[in-house]
Amino acid sequence: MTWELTGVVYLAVMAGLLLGGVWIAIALGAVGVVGLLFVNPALLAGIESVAWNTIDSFILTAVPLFLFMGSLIMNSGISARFYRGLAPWLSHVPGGLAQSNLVACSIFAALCGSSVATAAAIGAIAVPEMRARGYDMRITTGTLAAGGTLGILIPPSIPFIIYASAVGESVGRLFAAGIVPGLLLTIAFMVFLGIQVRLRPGLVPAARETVTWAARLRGLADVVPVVALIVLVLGGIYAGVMTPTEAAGVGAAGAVAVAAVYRRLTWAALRRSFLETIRTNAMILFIVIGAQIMSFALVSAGIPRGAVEAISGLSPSPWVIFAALVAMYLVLGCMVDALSLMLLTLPVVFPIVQAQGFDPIWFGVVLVLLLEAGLITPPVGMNLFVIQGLSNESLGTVATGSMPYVALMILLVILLAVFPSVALWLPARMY
Amino acid sequence: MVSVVLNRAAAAVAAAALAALILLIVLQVVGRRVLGAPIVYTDEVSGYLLVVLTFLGLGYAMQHGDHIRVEILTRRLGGPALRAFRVAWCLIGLAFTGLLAVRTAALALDSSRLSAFSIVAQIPLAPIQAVAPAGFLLLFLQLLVQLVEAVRSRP
Repeated sequence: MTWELTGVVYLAVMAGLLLGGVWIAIALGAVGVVGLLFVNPALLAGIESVAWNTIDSFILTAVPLFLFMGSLIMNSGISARFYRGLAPWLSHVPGGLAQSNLVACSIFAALCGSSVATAAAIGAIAVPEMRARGYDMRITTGTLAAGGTLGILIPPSIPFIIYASAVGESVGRLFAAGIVPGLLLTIAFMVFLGIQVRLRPGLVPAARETVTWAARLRGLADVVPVVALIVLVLGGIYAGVMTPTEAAGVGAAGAVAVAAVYRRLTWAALRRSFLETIRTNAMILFIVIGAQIMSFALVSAGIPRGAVEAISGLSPSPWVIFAALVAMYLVLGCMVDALSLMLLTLPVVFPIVQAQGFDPIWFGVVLVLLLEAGLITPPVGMNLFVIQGLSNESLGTVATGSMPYVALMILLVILLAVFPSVALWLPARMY
Repeated sequence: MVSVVLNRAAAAVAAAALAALILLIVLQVVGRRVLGAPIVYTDEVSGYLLVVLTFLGLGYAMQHGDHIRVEILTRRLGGPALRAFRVAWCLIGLAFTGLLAVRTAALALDSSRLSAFSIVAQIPLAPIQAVAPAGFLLLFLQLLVQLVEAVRSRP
C-alpha cells in the first residue's frame, strides 16, 4: 500500500476518534495500534518498548517537578500575595489592575510551565478584585486569558520540554529562546492595553487610587522572594550550573522553602499540590505515550518520509510551507488543545520543517506561539474556558476581550520569521 | 468501590515517588555543585521514579476526569446518543489499555526471566517495569467502572 493511502486511513481514524470524543491519549494510541495492524501486525510487539522508553526519561522528569512548583505557589497563597504586592507598583500605568494581570501572569509563567495554570492562578485573585472596582469585564477576562498564555512561552514551559524530548533538542536552549519573545509579547500586550484604555477611558474605573511609597515597599516584600526563586531556577539553567531537570527539582524544593518562609506551608496545601501534580502529570504523559505509539506507526508506514519527498518534489519556497503551517496551526488550534495538537502534528511536521532548513529551536518558539493563539481562540480555547469558569461571564465576553491579543501573537510570529535572532540570540550566548 | 480505593492508594505511592524525586535531585545538585561528589545513579533512578509516579497516576486521573477529550461535537449530546458514546469511549479505552497492560507485562516478565539489572545502580528491572502494567490495569479497572455506570445510566 502506498504511503498516501495509509496516510488517508490514519487521518480518517484519527479524526473519527478525536472528534467522537475519545480521550485524546487513547485516541492517539489507538490510531497507532490500528495503523500498526494495517502495516504489519508483528510490529505491535514494539509498543511496550515505546511506552517504557517514553517515560523512563530524565528529561521528562522535569514535567512533574515544574507542575509541582507552580501548584504549590498557588495553593499556598503565594501567588495571591505577589499579585497584591505588585499592584501598587502599576497603579499609575494606564490600565491599572489590568496591567497587573499581564505582569503577574508573566511572572507566574516563570514559575510554572502551563498556560491554564497561569490563567487560573492569577484569575482566581484578579477577577473578584477587578469586578469590585468596576473594571470592564472584557478587559478583565481578556488580559487574564491572554496573559495566561505566556505560561508556555516564558520558561519553564511544559510544551518546550516535550518538544525538546520529542525532536531531540536541548531543553535549556529552548527555554532561553522563549525568554526574549516572551518579554516582547508581554510588553506588546501592555502597550496595546495602555492605548486601548487611553482611547476608551470608560473601560477602567476613573478614580485612580493614591498609593503611598510605604505600600509599595510593603508590596516588595511579597514580590522579591518569588523573583529570587525565578532567578535561581532560570539563572541556574542559563549559567549552565544546573540542567533543566535539576533546576526543576531545585525549584520544587524552593517553592516549599518560600511557602515555609511565609508560614503558609500547610499540610492541606502540600497534599493538594502533590495530588494535583500526580493527576496533571498522568494526563500529560499519557498523551505523550499515545503520541509516541502513533509516531512509531506513522514512521513504520513511511508517512513522514513520503510527505517530505512529496513536498520537496514540488520545491515550493520554504516561506510558502511556513505560511501553510501557520495557517494549519491557527485553524487546528481552535479545535484541539495545545499540547495534543503539538504531539499530533510533530511526527510529520518536524521532518518537513527540517527538510526546509528551518532552525529547530526557532521553530519550537514559533510553534509554541501558535499554540498560545489556539488557547484563546473559540470554540475550544482552554484559557477561555478557565477564565469563563472563574468569572461566570459568557464565553463571548472572554473571547472578545482576548481577540486583539491573538493579532499581537501573529505579529510576533511574523517578526520571528523576519528576524529569527529575536529567539536565537539568547540561546547562542549560553554557557 | 474497589477501583476508588486502589487508585487512591496508587496515588499515595505516586506522591511518595514525587517527594523522593524532589529530594534526590536536590541532593544531586548539592552533591555535584557544592561537595563535588555527584550521585552517579541520579539520572537512572529519576527515570524510574517518573515511571512510578506517572503510571500509578493514570487511573487516579481518570477517576477525577482529568484525561482530556475533544468535546466540540459531543458536548451537546444527551439521552440515548450520549449513553451510546460513553459506552463506545469506554470500550475503546478498555481495548487500548488492556493491550498495553498485556504488552508491558510481557516486557517485565522478559526482564524477570533474563534477571536484567539497571546499568548504573544495578537495580533489578523487572519490579520497576511491572509498575507499567500495574498502572494500565488500574486504568482498565476505572474504565470498567465507568462502563458499568454508562450502561446503567438512564437515557
